[in-house]
Amino acid sequence: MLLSRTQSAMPGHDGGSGAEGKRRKKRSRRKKKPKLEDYIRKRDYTGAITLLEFHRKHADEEDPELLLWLGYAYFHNGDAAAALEVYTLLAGMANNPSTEVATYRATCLFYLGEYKEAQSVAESARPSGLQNRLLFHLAHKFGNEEELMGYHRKLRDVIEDQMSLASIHYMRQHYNEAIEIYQTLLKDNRTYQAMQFYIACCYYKLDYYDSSLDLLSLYLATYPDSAVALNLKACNHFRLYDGRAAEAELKRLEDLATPSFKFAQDLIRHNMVVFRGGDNALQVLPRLVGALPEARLNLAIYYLRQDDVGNAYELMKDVDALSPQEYILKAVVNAAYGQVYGEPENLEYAQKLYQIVGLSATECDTIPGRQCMASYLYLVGEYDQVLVYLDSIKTYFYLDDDFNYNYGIAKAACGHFGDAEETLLMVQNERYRAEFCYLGWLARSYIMNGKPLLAWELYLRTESTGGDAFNLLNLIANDCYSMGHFYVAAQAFDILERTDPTPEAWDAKRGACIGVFQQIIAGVQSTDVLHDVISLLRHTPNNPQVELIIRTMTKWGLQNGLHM
Amino acid sequence: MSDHHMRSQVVENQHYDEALSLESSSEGAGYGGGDTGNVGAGYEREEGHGATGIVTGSVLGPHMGGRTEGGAGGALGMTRGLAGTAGNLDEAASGAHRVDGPAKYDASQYDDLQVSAEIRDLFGYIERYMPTSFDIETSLKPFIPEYIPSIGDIDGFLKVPRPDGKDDGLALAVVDEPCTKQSDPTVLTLQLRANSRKSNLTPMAVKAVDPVAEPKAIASWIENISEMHSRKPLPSVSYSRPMPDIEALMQEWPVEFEEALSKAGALPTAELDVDLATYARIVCAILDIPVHDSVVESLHVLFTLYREAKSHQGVNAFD
Repeated sequence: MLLSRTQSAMPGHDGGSGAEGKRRKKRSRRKKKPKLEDYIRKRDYTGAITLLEFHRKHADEEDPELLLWLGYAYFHNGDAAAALEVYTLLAGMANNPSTEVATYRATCLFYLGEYKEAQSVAESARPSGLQNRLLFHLAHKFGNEEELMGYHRKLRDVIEDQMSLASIHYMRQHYNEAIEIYQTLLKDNRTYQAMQFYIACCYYKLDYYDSSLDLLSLYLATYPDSAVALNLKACNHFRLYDGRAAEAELKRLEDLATPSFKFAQDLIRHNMVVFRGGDNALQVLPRLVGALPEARLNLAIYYLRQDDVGNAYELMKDVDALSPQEYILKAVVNAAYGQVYGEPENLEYAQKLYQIVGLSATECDTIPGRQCMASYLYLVGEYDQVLVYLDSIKTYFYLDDDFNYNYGIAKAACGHFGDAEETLLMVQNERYRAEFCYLGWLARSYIMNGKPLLAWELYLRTESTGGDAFNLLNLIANDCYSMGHFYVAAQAFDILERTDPTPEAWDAKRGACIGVFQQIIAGVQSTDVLHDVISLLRHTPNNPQVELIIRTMTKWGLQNGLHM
Repeated sequence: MSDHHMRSQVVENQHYDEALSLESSSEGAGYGGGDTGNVGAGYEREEGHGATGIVTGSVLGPHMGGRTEGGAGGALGMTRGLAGTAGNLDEAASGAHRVDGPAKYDASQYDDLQVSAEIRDLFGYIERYMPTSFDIETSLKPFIPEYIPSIGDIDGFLKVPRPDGKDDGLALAVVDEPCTKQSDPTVLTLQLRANSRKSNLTPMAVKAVDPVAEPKAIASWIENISEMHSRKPLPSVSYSRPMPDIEALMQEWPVEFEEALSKAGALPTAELDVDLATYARIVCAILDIPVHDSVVESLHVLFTLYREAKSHQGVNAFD
């Protein structure tokens, strides 16, 4: 096949000298017989599995030696289910050469999340380093401290056990202890480059994103196509920059990988949703709930962002919170659910969770920790203290609607109406801006800031959009009255009186109109509005007082040279 | 007007008081994460709240508590506290005193107004109405956390070793993950079949690929298959009648013939006014290739000769 050969030859080598051609021929002949060892060494487990399965299929009987390699390849390819099948087959064979198959089975079960079965298989397996490590991890999964300590004591001062201990530290969020172990291992053996990746993981968890990236670049210099390292790099970029930067890193991984690379696909799909701000969340995340711990949390976040409080709550309500993220999200769904459905129990639970996070030593000085403390104080009505916490993080939330909404209302509730007005006006979300809570506090802020006409305009706008205008009008009327903004109060009470002509309404309108009159006389209100006030009074039918008041006003007007 | 007064649900506040006493703990500069900030370390459960306390540092080693102290992070000068300007609760607290609202209407301000008794009487109505002070509800917009990317699990060294006991370096020298360049199982199987001496191979299933969804898969398939074919040995053809050896055909022409040829200018080209089959016979005749019943077999010899000659030429040219 001369044609193909020249085609596949590198430019500059074409034509092929005799020697070149011969060498290439030799190489291709060697390649013709794929060697298991080559695939294993390259970590091309798909190749290894294909080769082994091919021989297995065409052999007369099962070869236990081959099966052990097949199990190994499946296992390290991340296919614990297939590995388990192989080891289960091996366990039943009379000529099984390995004494460790039971432990291998338990290990596969562990990765499949079958912890109970993994435990019972591991316990009856032959004692070994792996068996102890496995039971150690299972004790952690079950939260059994006593057993954990027992297996911990049995760990030996060997690399495998030290690695296992480091990972337990990591899972218990004791990242500094984990780093110490990894650093010691790396110091003892500079070729243990994987430590760079693990330490980078710890730094990421500690929010030291730059340090994480520094270490990753060392690892990636040797293994530029490491999927987990590229993924971690993407996560760091997500934290440091944005989703776009993160996505670019994942794209690079996609370009590098061959179609038969199936490892970590769930992780990559999951993070794609994260980096794209929730795109495709409903197509990707529900399937991953249970497989990836973050998938459940992200799905709940997605529902919350879609304002689907019910689904978010359902997803989180049975979660036994362990990580700060889980605590926070549980608090958030309970707060949202409690407010939407008016459930005081949920609100109380939310308060408790918020408080736990906000006070924890590790979270109290983080942004989410401050948010939690502020949320707790907000729910219990300590608004001046809410401001202490929100002030400390406000630089990070300049254009955040949720933040400005809460911050503005807390400001208003504390009587800081100037800041309240400014902050509430920064809220962009139309749904938030239509809520009575928002309108009421904004109107009050306007009135307190001496801008009653803006409050009046707010009412008119609300009225035209069919909002909760009546209550707003009532609020504006009374607040304006108490602040001496009688002109707006008079107009507001006029409408209220026409809606509901009670003696009280008349009292209010009368007071407001006379208040305007007083301000005209005092020279703080233009004489032009006297006519408006008189026509407002005329709206009240069958009231002898109306004529009396109007007469007095007209008389004063004429005496002061007004055209009445 | 709804009146949600959360004050009725005030819970005891001692924990919070503790928080205030911790105010000074927010020293440190450079919050790394900007407004991201789903953080997760050393998280302590409230006492008596959960079954499995996370605070087992004393058991598994010293518990580091906060991240601002000790550890590699501290050594690198990184702290997890909020930036000084924003993070100090003390500073912020000083500005959060409740302020008195702006001045309300005060009737006494107008006492000096020179008005008739009639008007003065009217003024009395202003204070007759007592405006209602409404409590406006305060609903919380819960801060929805950022989406949380996953970095996967850490390696707990729970793994199957190589069956031959050799060191594979997995999880130590290199992270235990497959390389990104995995063989295509179908292509490899085809290759294995091609090399197999067994004849009882069962037919194999070939996977289907959606060209729209997986354009990359198609490209890689084509590449893999053509590479595989390039490694296959040549198919041999058995001729129905004996054909001369290619080596014999490769021998140089007699000098006379070469001379005649150079005199004629060139070999007859395809422009010769004959049909294709006749032209093929002519060319075969010139090259000493016999034509028996079918011209196809002769043409196969012709092309085989052509290829050999070409590669031979290439070697000469290179030398």
